[in-house]
Amino acid sequence: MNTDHTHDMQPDGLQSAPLATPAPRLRRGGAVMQFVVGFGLIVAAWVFGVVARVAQRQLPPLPPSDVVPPAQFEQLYGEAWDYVNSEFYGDRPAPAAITDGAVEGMVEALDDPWALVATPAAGAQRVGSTDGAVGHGSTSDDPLSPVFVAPLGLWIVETSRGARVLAIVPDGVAAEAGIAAGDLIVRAENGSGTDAIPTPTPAATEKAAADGHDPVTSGDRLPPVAVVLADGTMPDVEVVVARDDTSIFARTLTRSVESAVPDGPGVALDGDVLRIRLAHLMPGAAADLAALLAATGQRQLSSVILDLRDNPGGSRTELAQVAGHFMTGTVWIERARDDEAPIEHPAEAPGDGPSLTAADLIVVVNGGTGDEAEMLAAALREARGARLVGEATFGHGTLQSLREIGRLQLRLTTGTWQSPGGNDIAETGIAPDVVVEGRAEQDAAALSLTTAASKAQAADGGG
Amino acid sequence: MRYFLRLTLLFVVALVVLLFAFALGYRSADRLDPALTARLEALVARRADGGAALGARAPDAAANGADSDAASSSPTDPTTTADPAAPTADGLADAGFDTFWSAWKAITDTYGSELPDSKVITYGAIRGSLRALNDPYTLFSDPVDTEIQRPELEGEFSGIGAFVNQNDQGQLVIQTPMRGQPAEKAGIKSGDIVLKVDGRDIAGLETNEAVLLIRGKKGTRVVLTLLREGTPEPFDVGVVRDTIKVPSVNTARLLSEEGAPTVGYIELTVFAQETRDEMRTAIRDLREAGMQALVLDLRNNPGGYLNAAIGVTSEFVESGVVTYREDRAGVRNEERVVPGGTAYDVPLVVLVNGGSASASEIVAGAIRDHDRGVLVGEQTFGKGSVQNVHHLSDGSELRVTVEIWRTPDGSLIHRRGIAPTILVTPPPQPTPLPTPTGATPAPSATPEPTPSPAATAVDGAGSAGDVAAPDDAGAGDAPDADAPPDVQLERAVQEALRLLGAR
Repeated sequence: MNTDHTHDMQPDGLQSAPLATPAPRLRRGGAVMQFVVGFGLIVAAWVFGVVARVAQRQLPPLPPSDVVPPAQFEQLYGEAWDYVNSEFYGDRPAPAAITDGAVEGMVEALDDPWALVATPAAGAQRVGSTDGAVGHGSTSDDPLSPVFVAPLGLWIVETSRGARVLAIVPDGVAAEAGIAAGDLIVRAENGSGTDAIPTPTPAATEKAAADGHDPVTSGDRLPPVAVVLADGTMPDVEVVVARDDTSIFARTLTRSVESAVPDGPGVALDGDVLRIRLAHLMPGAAADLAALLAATGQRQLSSVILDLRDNPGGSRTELAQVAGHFMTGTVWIERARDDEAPIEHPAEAPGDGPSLTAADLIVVVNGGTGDEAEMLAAALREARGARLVGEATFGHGTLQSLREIGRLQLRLTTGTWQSPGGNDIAETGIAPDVVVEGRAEQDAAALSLTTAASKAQAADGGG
Repeated sequence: MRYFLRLTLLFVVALVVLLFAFALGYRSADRLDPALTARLEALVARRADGGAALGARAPDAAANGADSDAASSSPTDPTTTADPAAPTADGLADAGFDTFWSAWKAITDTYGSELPDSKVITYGAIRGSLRALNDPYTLFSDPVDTEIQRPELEGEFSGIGAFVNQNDQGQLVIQTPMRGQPAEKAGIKSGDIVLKVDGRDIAGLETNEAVLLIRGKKGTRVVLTLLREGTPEPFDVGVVRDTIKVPSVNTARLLSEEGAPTVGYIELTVFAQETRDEMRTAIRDLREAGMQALVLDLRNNPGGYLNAAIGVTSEFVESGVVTYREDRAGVRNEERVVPGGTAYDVPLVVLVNGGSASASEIVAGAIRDHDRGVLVGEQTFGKGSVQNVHHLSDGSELRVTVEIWRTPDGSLIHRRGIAPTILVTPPPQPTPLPTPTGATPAPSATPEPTPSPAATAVDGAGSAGDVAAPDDAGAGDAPDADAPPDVQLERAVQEALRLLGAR
């Protein structure tokens, strides 16, 4: 390239001698000029060097004009990627895979405990698509909804860091292994787990090499934790569980044949007391409850006990409908960002069935009461005067939203929710009015409250 | 004619100068102001992603589109919903990285809590992209991580001198105190669980973080709160830190106890800078004591420096190639034996197992291909790739797999390992060590606080030269008083005696 610029001066063939003669004259005419030209050529060559390098770089494209990129993104990502592109031994993945990886890495950097990037690659083996293990009510095409893993007796939701345990079935496999709501299952491996290192088999490598694949890329990214958990093909699954970011422990869970099923709503009449058990608020829960309530017939009830223990929530649509059986008005307040006005979400009036808005209401909660179930408990206390019995709830005070971005689905924490009275539930969850531990004790306490408290019903409105 | 010559000379000089300037420009381009180079790029408009880059500037449908609640979302735009079965077309369309920018915009627009330092976002994106390469040895480390690893890179640090590991409760366990080092002198024993460091509870800390707490300046004191089996209460032990050098030769003795006083035994735990010298000393001492054949134990040796592997091989092999490095284009660079070995004539048996990796595999492969000795034990780990360290402008580091090793006869080490000449599998242990899931695909998971040259890439010889450590595959066989008999060693001794007899 640089030779182009010297071409004018370059003699070719026999003409060299005559052309050369002006040289001394030039020297006489202007050494300065010569110097300037020479220096200019050198600078030009340097610039060409820079341009050639820049043109050769493999950088990510500039962001759209309305996007401010993260600090030094172009520079650092460019440097890293350029080096990998020119030096990396293995096969280059498809550009889409690299972009997806960048999005996943970026989202992980947010440190959002509920975030998830669902890529098409992982989608092929997503939990939602494995039938049988998926609980009642969860929609199979939404990778982001909670999943009930029946053989292990636990509710999980997939996040970028692993599977977050939302609730566990009492006496289930997970419960007996000491896993609790709020734990994060960071790894899960099927099988006996005696061979922890994935040793490549020579035969497989041989074959890959013969197929023209390079031997560096292993091609066996671990499937998402949630997928392994929901996969029921092996009797045992080895899990590594992180609790409160302070302790890590490993357990071997043996899948139960008699799967613990998350019951749908259950309704039982006990004299004047109606007991309602809600195991989750997944799609369909409200309709099931309405049908059950309708079946009890229209009669005057003095007390209702609503059992929300180990209810991980589910859908906010269901929440609004279920709340409608018990109360009117605002159920929860959604707060996106500081600069946006809060949105109040009201209860939805139920079609038919007995009206429970007047009955004395006791709500039983525990550490597995999470998300929409917590919202329900808080709303019933504040807007309905219900009394809460049991243990502090899970404490999921944030709201997540799902977005489709190209081929990716991105779940992010986009705000917080507040109770009708404007209270945040921090990480601590909702403290019950009457603290009782142990399931039987909680049941007894709830019952004693209903009968004993019928006189003092209107005395305190709660929160 | 004189003018012609002079002109030619002038021309050549000018060409050289201009080429030099060009090269200088080319090389300095990476250090120029990014804003300037970005502008140049725009001018050049010849990016890797071509037209798609410009496409990314167009208003982004995806970002403005489906923005909905998890509970009620029903994406309808078929163009934005990818078919997982056919990602190719989508992939091409996305060459312009627009999905990334859409995601970033979504985050900045809607993220409910405070965004982390945006450099962290950049680091995350780099990490995520590297993961797409599917190579566990290609890694990014941000400036902080890089700083933490620096003592290891420099090959010297001060600490207490003990190998540590994590048990299945996530606790830090002393695997082996190093002989003659402060930890051993202070009475710390294999199996002790470290609860606190200088009074600070280390539960929940990563192994590396805990190790950093234990390390410190030479001469300073660190108090470890230990839990020991058989001792009901935790107790404190004070240790004065010292400069730790890891001897690579862990054991060098004659196998008299095993009934073979003419067979020497050298156990190499790592391939470090001093390994060849230590080997020479050990060989000399053993010879003086009457060694006629040698068992070289490379079991659970995770590797180390390439130079050390060449050095060790060169003790036994007189000439030829130790290993080939092969780059993506298939170009091979040979690493040859360094003359001056001291044990060309000693019959040799090399012990290997699934924990023998990297440099160990280079040595084993060379010994096998030169027909210099017998390999006894199990298939080796299969880590035969070379990482280069690339420094980014802000102090971050990138380790990228750039080459793979081949043994002298051309066979591949990576993901295959080296098969032993004589396969000897140890009987299953009555109580298998709890290695919950050591399979984090990062070489940094090697659980030792030692400078393990294994974990570094800087090789003075100027070659790409890193032989990084894999996970501690099958490692963790701490010496045990009532350990089962070492059947692999027994077999190795038989072989050594056979080789001696055959001479």
